[in-house]
Amino acid sequence: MAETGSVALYIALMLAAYAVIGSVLGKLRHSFSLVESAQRSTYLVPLALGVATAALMEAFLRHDFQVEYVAAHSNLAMNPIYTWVAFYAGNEGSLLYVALVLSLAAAVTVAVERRTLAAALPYTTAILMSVVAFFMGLLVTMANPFDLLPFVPADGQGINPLLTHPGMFIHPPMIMTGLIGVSVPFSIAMGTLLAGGQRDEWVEPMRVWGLLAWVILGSGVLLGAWWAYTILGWGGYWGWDPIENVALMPWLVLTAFLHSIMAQKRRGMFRMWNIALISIAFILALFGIFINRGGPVPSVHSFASSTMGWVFLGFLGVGLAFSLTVFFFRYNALSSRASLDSMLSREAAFLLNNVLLLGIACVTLWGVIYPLVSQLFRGVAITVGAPFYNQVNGPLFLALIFLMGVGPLLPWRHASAATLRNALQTPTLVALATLGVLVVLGIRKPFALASFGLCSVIVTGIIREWVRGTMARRSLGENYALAFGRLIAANRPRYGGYIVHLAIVVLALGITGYTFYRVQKDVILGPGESATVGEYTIQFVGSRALERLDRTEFFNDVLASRSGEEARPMTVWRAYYPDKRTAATRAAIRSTPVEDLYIVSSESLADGRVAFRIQVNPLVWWMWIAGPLLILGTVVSLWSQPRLSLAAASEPAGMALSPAGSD
Amino acid sequence: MTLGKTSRLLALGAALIAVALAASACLFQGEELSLEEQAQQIDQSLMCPVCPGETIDQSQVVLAKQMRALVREKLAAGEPRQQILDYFVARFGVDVLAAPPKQGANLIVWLVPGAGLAAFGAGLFLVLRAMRSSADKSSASGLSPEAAPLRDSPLTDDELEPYLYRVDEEMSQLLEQSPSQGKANRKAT
Repeated sequence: MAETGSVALYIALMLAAYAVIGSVLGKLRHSFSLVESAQRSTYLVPLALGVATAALMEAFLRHDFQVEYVAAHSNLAMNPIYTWVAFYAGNEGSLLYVALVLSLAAAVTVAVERRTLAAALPYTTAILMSVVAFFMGLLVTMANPFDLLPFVPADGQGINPLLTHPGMFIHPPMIMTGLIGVSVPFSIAMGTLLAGGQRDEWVEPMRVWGLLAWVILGSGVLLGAWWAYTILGWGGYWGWDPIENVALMPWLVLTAFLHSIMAQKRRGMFRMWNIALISIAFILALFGIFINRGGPVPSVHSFASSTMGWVFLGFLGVGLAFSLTVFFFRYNALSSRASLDSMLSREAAFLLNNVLLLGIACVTLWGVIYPLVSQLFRGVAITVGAPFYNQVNGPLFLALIFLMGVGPLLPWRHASAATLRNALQTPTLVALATLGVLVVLGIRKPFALASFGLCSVIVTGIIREWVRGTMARRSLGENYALAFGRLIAANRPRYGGYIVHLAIVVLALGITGYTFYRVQKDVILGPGESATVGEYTIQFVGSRALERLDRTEFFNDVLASRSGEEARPMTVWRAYYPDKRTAATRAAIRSTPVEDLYIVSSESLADGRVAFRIQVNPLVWWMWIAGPLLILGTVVSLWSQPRLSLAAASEPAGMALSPAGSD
Repeated sequence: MTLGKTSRLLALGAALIAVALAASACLFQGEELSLEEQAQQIDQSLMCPVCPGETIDQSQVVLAKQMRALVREKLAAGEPRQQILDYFVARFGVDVLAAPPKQGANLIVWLVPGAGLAAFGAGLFLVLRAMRSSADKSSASGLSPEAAPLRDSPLTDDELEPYLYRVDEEMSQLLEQSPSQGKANRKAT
């Protein structure tokens, strides 16, 4: 089977190379049949890679330890359901996964955007397949998952215990899919530019594909946070680790892109800027995969490290040079149709939002690469960790939240003083009232107050828009439910966007509560002893040990009670893997919208005592509903009316009719 | 004209927010942290020297545990935060700090983001001003007819809203009934 997989990889490489050459040649020689055959070969690449993936899975299931990758990432004791996780636990497998996903996305792009992209499609196909071919090249030369060992080991080394968590089934694939997915809007933009596209017909496909990559990457990041919170055992969800940062950066730039592309869609503005943004997002996404796959930065995520970093860096350089060249030669096609009328308009707010988002991305990038710079030029090892990002990015995020509250209330083109006063009056009053209540409740930390206050501005603004729109429709004779439904249906990108904003608000609530008001205590308890944290009393009842093939599992039973309430049992799980000399933990969490009681055990001592970390984390519950809200908002946005949006793209002059509130 | 007024309004709003923030910062700064809270803050500022990417607050290896105990011991003995951090820097090197100190050559880490953002913002402002002045010129010479009626519009946005929804509605109905006809209609207008 390993041979089948290897052969499938070579076939996929040849098909991808043919698709690149065939598309470009066919386009240049106006040979329709050549372009067509190149596109057919694009459809075949995912098939070939599917065969390779199946072969690898089969090797895992058969415990074919002669395959080096299988021996390195599984063993006889591994539960077969983790085969899927083991598939991308190392370099070779995850590169295969990335190539498979990208080839699928390329095939779907070719099939779906055939008519919208028309003349540009061959170039778009060629760019997408070049990226696929790059990964295929890596797979067959430096990281072949089907390499065989000269002998057959009796057992494999086993999967990293940290990866045996339900979150691991979807978190890494989503991150990788989101990162590589940025290739699609990038290829559409570059392809259209190469084909000399002047009109804005590529705006909608770019927005849709950008949004898809954005929501997948965003959900992946949130899932990763949840995984860290429940399993890593230190009671946090985000450590500003390099690997987390490189997933966050392209997401931030994509967020900027999704906002400013609306200005292009509606008013034909910021064309050049949008191309620049999607190129930056693509480069950062490649950088993300590069850091993930054996990058030079130390990280808790270095599950897979390799020497192929320099090859990646070279490809990154090629990508950068390519986009700069296209940008340079097609500069003229990118002039904006309209200019900015006023600094007090939605366009201007989008621009400022772009500055902040790019700013946060750049600060983060700076933090990731400065240790390398320092090591290289000064020979001094430096750590740039959480305190740096919190101090520099924290205020920038606050400013962004402020803008998120005000921006959507501004009309396109120009806001008069009256409009502005009218739009901001209620939210400001509500924010002041909220602040008053919070101060009375005892919230005194300035950053927390600012964050909560700004969140209330956003929520009030959104509710006000919904109420106003519904009332306006009701005055036309619809009932409330129908009016609200139609309001959202009439402009899905906008109201979907509001839902996404609400998701960011709940995320901000959770982060603020956790950052400023969590209580933490490390204790060592013997059976029967208890500890008090905040309003909670935790009594350690006793520990049960369970011997497994490759680990010892400890079930530590505790009784947790909030002052005056009945005690409830919780079980804190921890496993020790003697062969790997590592431990895996699973936190016991009692979650309510107000606060989480979070208990994790860090050590089981020989005398029967157990070390616990106990936290009371306010508002963290809200963070985890941000994910579903984010997805809901995106679905609403994507469920757009194709005919109307086509009309908007081709006839922007007609849309200038609407100064406010109807986009 | 209106621009002056609105930007004054905006400046006033920004000033108010700044004052409120500063006031709350001054008023509520004097919160006393317990020794354990101080210790946890120090834990979060120190990297575990043997585990990549983890602070001693996060790590469970023996060295991290010993370092945590040492932090508490020193705090209990009355040593200030900076002195404790310096002690660990002297032993393990400056990369034991989770973020570089704000002094000497490492000041650059902290200054570059601010300077970069300021430069970026200033550049953007200049570009926009150039864009605006060229737009003003074209509208002054009557090249931009669509801009004029809007500013003189006697209707406020609220008054416009129902009409706009009706336009939206009728347009989507029109398009639903006969897409080809709808397109033809719009082309005719």
